[in-house]
Amino acid sequence: MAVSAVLSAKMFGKSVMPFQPPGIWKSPYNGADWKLSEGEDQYRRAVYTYWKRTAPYPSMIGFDAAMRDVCLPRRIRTNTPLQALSTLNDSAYLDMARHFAKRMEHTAGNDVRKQIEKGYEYMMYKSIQPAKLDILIGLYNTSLKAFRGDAKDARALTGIALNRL
Amino acid sequence: MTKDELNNDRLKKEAAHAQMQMHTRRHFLKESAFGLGALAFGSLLGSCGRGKAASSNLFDPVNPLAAKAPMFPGTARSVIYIHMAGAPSQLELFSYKPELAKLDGLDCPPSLLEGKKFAFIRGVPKMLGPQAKFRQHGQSGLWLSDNLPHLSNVIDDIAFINTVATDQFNHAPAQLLMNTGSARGGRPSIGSWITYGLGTENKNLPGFVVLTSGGNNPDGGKSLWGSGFLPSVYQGVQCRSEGDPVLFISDPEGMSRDVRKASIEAINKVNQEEYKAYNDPEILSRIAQYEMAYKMQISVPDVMDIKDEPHYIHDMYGTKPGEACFANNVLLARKLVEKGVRFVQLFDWGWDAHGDSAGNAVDIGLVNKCRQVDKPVTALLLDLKQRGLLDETLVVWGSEFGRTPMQENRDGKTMAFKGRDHHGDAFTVWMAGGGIKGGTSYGETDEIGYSIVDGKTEAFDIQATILNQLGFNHEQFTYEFQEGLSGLPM
Repeated sequence: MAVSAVLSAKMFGKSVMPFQPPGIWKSPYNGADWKLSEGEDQYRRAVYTYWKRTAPYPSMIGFDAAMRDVCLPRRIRTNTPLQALSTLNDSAYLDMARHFAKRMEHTAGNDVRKQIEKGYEYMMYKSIQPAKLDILIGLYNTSLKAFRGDAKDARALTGIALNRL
Repeated sequence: MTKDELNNDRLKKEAAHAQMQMHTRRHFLKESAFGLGALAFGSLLGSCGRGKAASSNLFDPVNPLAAKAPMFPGTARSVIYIHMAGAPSQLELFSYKPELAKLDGLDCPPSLLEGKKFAFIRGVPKMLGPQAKFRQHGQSGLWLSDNLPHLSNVIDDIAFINTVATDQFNHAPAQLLMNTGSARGGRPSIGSWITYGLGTENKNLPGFVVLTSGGNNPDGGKSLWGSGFLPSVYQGVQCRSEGDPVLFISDPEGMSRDVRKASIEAINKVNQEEYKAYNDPEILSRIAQYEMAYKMQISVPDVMDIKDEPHYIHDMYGTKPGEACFANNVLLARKLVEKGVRFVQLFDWGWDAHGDSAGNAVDIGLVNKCRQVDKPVTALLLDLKQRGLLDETLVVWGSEFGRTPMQENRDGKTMAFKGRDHHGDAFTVWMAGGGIKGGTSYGETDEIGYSIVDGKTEAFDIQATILNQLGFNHEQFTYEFQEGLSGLPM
């Protein structure tokens, strides 16, 4: 969220309910619904994310967050395919990626090479090595070709605002 | 050994443990400094020939989950390990103690209390007779409680180890000890050792899958299936027990398979560049996991859905598709090992039985828990057998400890319900399939099930037995993760 320039600096107040595909979160005992928060409340720091012991935020569990019902002396090293799936397919990540793309475009104009360089810098706080730049430009060209062939796909993936998905 | 030597030995062990933890914490730094990461793609440290370990290092960074041969031909190919979190009472399930019934309601003799520490019992508790009827079953004539009527039908397939002991009497550390060989965090779980040693037979699914039920995760948390100092690619992958087993399995709208494939390839190529620069093997794990994610997008919807199982199978297991329940997890476990997943671990929460509430009473809550698991566990053994899989699938029923033959008297007061305190001196773990001799019982406890008379079996022995069935000598099976420092499974 920080590198996508959407992170809200707002402090205090009630917990928020950020993006989450429908039907995942089930609240035992009271059947409460997950009501998406609006506006900048979508993008608060994770400490504000609504959490119930019996129904934690699934994405955090995917990244092996502590369960909070017992003390945890230290976090385990974690590295699962579920985390790869989250970053690839979770609608929250897709939304952030769109904002990130806008930021890259905004600062680097239409020059794709510069956009990628800038994006990498935002993300990693260092310049991109030439080999990596070539790989990512290659991916851009492959994707561009595919999306030129199917404008419907391109529109769906780059959709304006996720709130409406 | 003199006292000083003993102390030195203890210090040395603690230092080694601290170093291992350090390694986990600063994995990346250590890898760079000591150069394990310098092992190039495809080359193995084993060729250095250091140490006596026969297995040396089995981590192949190019294909970390590839199926590997064990040290010697094992009798099991895969494992389903069911951990009943909270500690079921052996005295109401597996351990028949008619003598205890005679002592019901009497003060516990001081000889049983001397030098003992309990989690909750204070002062002089009363003895509590078995709260279940026992009967003999099968050809073997083994005794089993009426709480498990279905299981009695497969008793001749089961080997009961009635003399398991632990020195831990709190749930979390005791669960850690049973699953990782140490009561403190930081060591690899048995499932990650086995996935490290044998890889997995289905390239499209994780080698080590974890499912939980009972409304809570076990107290020991995710360290129970963590990879400790082994590469994190061997960590257990916890799937959800309700709704979709794996989230975010579908590509976003507009993302074609071709573009998805190209993007994962690009991510992995960038990570390979990163690996060239930093030599951190964890980057290789990350690459492997992105590849696995891509494959799981295709394999998971098919394998991890129990809905399409035939009607008679659902009847047999007592499954409730769409709901979170133990039975669903058991059926899923069978499907996964059938598809070549190496290690499936089920944790079922809610077996604690202190007698502080009806749900925690050995004659109420425990009976209900038994009803939830008796049918599916029995179905698992029968179903594996009818598919010809029981011979090669080791099924383990275990827990972190057992319960006292005394009634719990928390803070010296009489409890509202009948309960038993935590007890690590003698409890039951059973195994079936995978070359285990069924219809047998190992070890002998005293006539009230309080202490072991013969055949003491500890977490290490359980783990060594599991490894043995899979074809590993636990003393030679190592992971060399740092100059001069090897990790053994226990």
